Amino acid sequence: MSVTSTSTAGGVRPMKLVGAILLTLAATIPWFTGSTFHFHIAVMVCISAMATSGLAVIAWVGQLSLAHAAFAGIGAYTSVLLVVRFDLPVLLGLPAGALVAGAVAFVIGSPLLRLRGVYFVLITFALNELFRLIMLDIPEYSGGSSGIAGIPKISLFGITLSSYQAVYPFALVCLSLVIGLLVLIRRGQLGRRFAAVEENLDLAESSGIPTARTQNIAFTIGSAIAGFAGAFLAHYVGFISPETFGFQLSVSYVIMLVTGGRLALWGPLVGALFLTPLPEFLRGAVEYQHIIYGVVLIAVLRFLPQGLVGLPAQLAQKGGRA
Amino acid sequence: MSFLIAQSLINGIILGTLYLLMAIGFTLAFGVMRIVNFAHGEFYMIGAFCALIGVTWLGLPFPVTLALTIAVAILFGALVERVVFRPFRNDELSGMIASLGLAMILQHGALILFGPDPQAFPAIVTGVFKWGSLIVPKSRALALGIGIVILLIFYLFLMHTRHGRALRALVQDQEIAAVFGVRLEIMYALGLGFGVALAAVAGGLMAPLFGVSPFIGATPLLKAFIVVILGGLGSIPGAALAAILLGLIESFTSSFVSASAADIVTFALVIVVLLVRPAGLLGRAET
Amino acid sequence: MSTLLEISGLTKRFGGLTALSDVSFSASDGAITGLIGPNGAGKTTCFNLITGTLPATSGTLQFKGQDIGGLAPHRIVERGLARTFQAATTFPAATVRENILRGALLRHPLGLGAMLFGGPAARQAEQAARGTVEEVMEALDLTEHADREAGTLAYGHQKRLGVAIGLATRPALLLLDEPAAGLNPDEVDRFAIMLKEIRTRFNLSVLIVEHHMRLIMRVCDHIVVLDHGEKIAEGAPEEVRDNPKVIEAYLGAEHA
Repeated sequence: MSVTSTSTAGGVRPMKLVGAILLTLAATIPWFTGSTFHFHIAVMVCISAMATSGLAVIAWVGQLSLAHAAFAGIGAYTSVLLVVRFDLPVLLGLPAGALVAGAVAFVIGSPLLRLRGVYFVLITFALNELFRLIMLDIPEYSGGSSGIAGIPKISLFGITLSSYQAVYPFALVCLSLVIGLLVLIRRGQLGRRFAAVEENLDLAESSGIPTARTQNIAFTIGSAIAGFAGAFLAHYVGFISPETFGFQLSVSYVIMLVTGGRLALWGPLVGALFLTPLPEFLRGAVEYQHIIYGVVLIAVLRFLPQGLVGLPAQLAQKGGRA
Repeated sequence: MSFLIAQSLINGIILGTLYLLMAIGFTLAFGVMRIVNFAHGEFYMIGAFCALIGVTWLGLPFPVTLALTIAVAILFGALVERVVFRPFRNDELSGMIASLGLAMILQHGALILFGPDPQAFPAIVTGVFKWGSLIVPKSRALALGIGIVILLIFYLFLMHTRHGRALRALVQDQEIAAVFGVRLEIMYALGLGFGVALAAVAGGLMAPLFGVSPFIGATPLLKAFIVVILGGLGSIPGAALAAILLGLIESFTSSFVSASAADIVTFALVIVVLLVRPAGLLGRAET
Repeated sequence: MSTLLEISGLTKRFGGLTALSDVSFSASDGAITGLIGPNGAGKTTCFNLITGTLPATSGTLQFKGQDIGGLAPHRIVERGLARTFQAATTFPAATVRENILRGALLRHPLGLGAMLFGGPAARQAEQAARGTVEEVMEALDLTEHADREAGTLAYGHQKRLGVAIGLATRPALLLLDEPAAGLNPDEVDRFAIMLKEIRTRFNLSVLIVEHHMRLIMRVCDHIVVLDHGEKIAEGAPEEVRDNPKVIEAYLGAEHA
């Protein structure tokens, strides 16, 4: 029995099946329509879902990071610099980005994670800003405010994935790996420890769980995933600058996570799936898109504390009561 | 050299006053409602637009415009408290996330209404004050003067009126304040309303100096954030000290070193303070 | 009876305020020791120092003859000194069984790899831990609630679950922080009986911090009395009850 299924009602199982089918169908939409534009959106959903998954791992131990974009940035710059300056294949650049982001998180994690709640949010907010300022200050590496353009595309064993259609299957594989990792964490003892720390930190510590180390493991894994997603984004879009990984990106990851469901396994994917296509379909009215983001965020916080993923269960509960 | 120091001093005090106007509302929202308000910078932006509308569209005199801005801001703050923040009163984290959403709504609402381009603000006063080689533009002196007057009025309100005392009691201890008959419903709205009004006034005062656009809220928010962390979340005296300090540091470093170095140093300082003294430079360590 | 926990010269200052001043006492193996005192006597501070939640200003803490001062709380639990909490005693979103399992797994440690990827070692560990869980649930009369979410339990049951989680870590000494607070007289009586049962069954020693005099007098073998951060008396229940200093401390506190 997994930690997740212990807390959900028995009637939710068929809904999970329906959810899985819907997700699979959603993933195949671009191939049905054949639209390049749809492929592009699908890749962006995958990247956002990966990054948000990383944020979710951190949220599972009860912390909300506003430095997530900075870790995506660390991954992106690591991979781009390795590929551009040292001719490393992109396929190695991506994990290298994850590794460096994770390593940075691991080192700064233990002092940082002594802060809890809003204080942790505040310090990560300051960190993200510090990252942006430092990167702007070292233009010889970061490209300064004009950024780095013409970043090499992802290539697999000599085949360059130059079109959106070609990137999409690879993005799906990467996303599946990330979600697979999340499933492993959730099912295993590590997930049990995460849940214990999230639900009652003091009690977890007094049950013999090394809470500081557990939080740092989550922070490291989550930030490494962000680094991977950031590196993927850099090679996919072909352009990065310190501003790419600013406060706004961190906020949009938070919005996707909260909208999807802060503690749910599928929250990040659902959040990304729901919110990423929005700007693309509202082109020419970008302002409305952000207003919709804001309204959705506040509405979800208010009425769906478990996010969109919790909606079926919440409806079932309401129905059962009536 | 000495004139450069005097010049930096005056510029620093002007900046510090602006930062303090911003920081009080930010710290009050945290002290009273335990909300870290990421939308606070947008209230500055709204204040600047209010002033712009008053002066250029309606042709009102600047002081009348400022008074109207304050009135609008208090009402707006109370409304925001009621609609956005009240449901999250016992949940700091959700309240903070909600403020991120509110910031997006306000900023992009302004973008729809006014467009992205910076708008010029007609000069309220022109010319400079000159003492020897020391030069202070009259527009800056005016902003400083009005800012100080408003801060003084707010100080008197906090110290010597019933509602002011109630607000301070709330910052000290919510439960005790409730026991002594402080009506939370009113005080929460009032607390946020005044905070918003101070931010809006700062926006109105600075509009003639820095121009107006939907994006001008970001920097004041960052400054308020720095000031409030350094001064201690929820502490008004701490904010006052930190605001003046930050104004002076920025003014001196940008005269003598470089602005980007100053930014990096202040953010590094913020991180260190959060780690070592989460209650701020002046505050007592939490136990 | 040999000494299990030995506290000597324990002092804690917060800024200029001395919360605990040069307190020494010991808890014997197999005994139920009570730590009592009026509000503000320093009981909770003392508790937090023993469990490693707060660092002591000075003094030593020896458990099973080894120094445990300065260890992180989870290390102290590992050594066999578990605690319960006054309030927020459970993992609210997990079932009763899962709550206890989280404690029980302490005695079945795994490497990071096995924690992440599972495998036979992880399965074995969980299997063994589940044995402990059933035993503890039965002893504390929680079996019928095994699959309920902890947050939905009645208050009395939540407090008992808190004890169960501590017990599941298989401690030699269990520290109980005001276990009777908020319970009705019936529940307190039941708790007293249960406490004596689990002591025998799990070969347990207990240190109990409590306001509730009836419970303390009924279950404790030895009582330590604190007032204003200092130890004012120590001895068997009847000795302590008749000690004029103790009576004065309690009456004084009530008349203040």
